[in-house]
Amino acid sequence: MAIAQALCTTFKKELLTATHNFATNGNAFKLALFAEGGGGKSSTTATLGAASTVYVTTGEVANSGSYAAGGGVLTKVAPSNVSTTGITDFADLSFTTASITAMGALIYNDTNNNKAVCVLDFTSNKTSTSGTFTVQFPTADASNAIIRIA
Amino acid sequence: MISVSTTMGISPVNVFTSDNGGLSDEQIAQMATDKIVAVSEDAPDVIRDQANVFKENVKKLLFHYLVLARKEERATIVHTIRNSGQKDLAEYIRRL
Repeated sequence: MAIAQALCTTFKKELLTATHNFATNGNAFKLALFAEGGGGKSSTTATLGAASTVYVTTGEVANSGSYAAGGGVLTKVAPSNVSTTGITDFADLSFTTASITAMGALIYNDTNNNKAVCVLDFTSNKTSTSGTFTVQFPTADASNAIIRIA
Repeated sequence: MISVSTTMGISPVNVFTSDNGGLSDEQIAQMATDKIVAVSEDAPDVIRDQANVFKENVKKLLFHYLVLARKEERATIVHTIRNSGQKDLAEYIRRL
């Protein structure tokens, strides 16, 4: 599979070296959209998964509407504890007036050399045509938050 | 030897898209409902069924008020545009 949902392996190590700061006044994180099967720029196909280490342009969707190369800045929700689980969350992200076909996304640290955080697999192509493309993050609880440490 | 083990998890996201315009009232109601009511995959069947019924009721309620909110906002816009002398434009927006 060219795009496989995963927390990036390097991210796990980088958490232990304080590379990523998800506090609201911490690092800036971005979400970029990617295509499979030649849907991206220059007919390239994304290969993303646990082995991803940084943001790459291969397979990224083309600029359209409010979507520009590199993707959109994520609005962070301060990390918290839910019982014994640590969680972090982001506000939903929308690209408007955009014609996009994407199969997945990469969240990366825009402050620290574009280091990869996680890969999101949409499991099927999602398409907007001169419309809105919204990525909705799951409920921020111990079982469903986008990133959880139990 | 002393060691501490932990697990990290990542959850799937929802993606909503639209063509030739913004998201529909139903899509936005669904987005809000998904945030309000989350049902664990590990929940017992009886609880999960009950939660899903509740979730569907919440979605219907949100949909109703979203439609109302859009309608009322449009009424305010139409009123403002009509007062500025753009009667044709106001009528066009009213009919949307």
